[in-house]
Amino acid sequence: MHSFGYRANALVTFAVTILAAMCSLASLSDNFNVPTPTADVKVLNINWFQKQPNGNDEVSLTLNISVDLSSMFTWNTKQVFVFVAAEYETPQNALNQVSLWDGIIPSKEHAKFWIHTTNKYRFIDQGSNLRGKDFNLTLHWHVMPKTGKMFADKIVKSGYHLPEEYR
Amino acid sequence: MFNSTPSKANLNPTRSGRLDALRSPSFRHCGEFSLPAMDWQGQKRSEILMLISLVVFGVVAFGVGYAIGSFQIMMLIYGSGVVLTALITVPNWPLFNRHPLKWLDPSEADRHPKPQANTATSKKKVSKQK
Repeated sequence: MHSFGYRANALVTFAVTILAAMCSLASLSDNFNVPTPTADVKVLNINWFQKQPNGNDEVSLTLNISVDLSSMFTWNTKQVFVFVAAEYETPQNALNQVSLWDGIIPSKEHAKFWIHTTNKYRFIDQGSNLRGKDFNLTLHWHVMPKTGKMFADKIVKSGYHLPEEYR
Repeated sequence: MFNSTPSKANLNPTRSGRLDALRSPSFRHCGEFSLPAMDWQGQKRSEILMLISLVVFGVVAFGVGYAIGSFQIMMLIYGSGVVLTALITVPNWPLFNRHPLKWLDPSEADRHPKPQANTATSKKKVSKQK
């Protein structure tokens, strides 16, 4: 501690160490939060259902997504990333997951909402297996912290069905 | 890390003590040998003050931030705490230099030659002091 530079270095190093400790404590405090999310996804309409020239099926849906994720927000939450995926089974793949829509919730005030939209991303199968297919719509969320561990979870909504014939 | 104030017998700077003083950056600024700019007691006080102050600010910042639920407030309190601590403990304030060591004048040192016989034991003493 015999010179300005020596003391300045010691201070900065220790200050950053304490900062790291505070950030990990903040992340640990997220575990005390017990979230109670609710979500519902309705398929309002099948807009069209075609087989593409390359042989793959494609569907266009209109969805109503209503969500309440306000209990996921803590003091250490930067944003929540939420997306809806369609899940179904085919002879080639045990599980297919196709992301249909996603969004970023920047704060608690925006966390309770509903949205009426066509699918943001195209629902295309690998092959031609979608006729008459039962599928689930799963709402996933990723709670992104300001510092520390990211939590991810989902709600599965089942019972959706695609038409038997192209339209 | 904490050197105790050297005993009277070692007030004559030994060869290695003198070299350290010459390497100190404040050597170039002083006409007299008053090096380093903080004395030993001051250095100890400054370091303890720095450690305690940073920990206290860290704890207070986290507590207030968690209670209010504002990450930004926590960072603000801690950041200003770090700056404040730096202003108090890092520069060479005179209050950290209240017990300066009185080094021997060079002309005086020549009149009191270093003991020749037991160089082995005196070297051991110096390394223990550090």
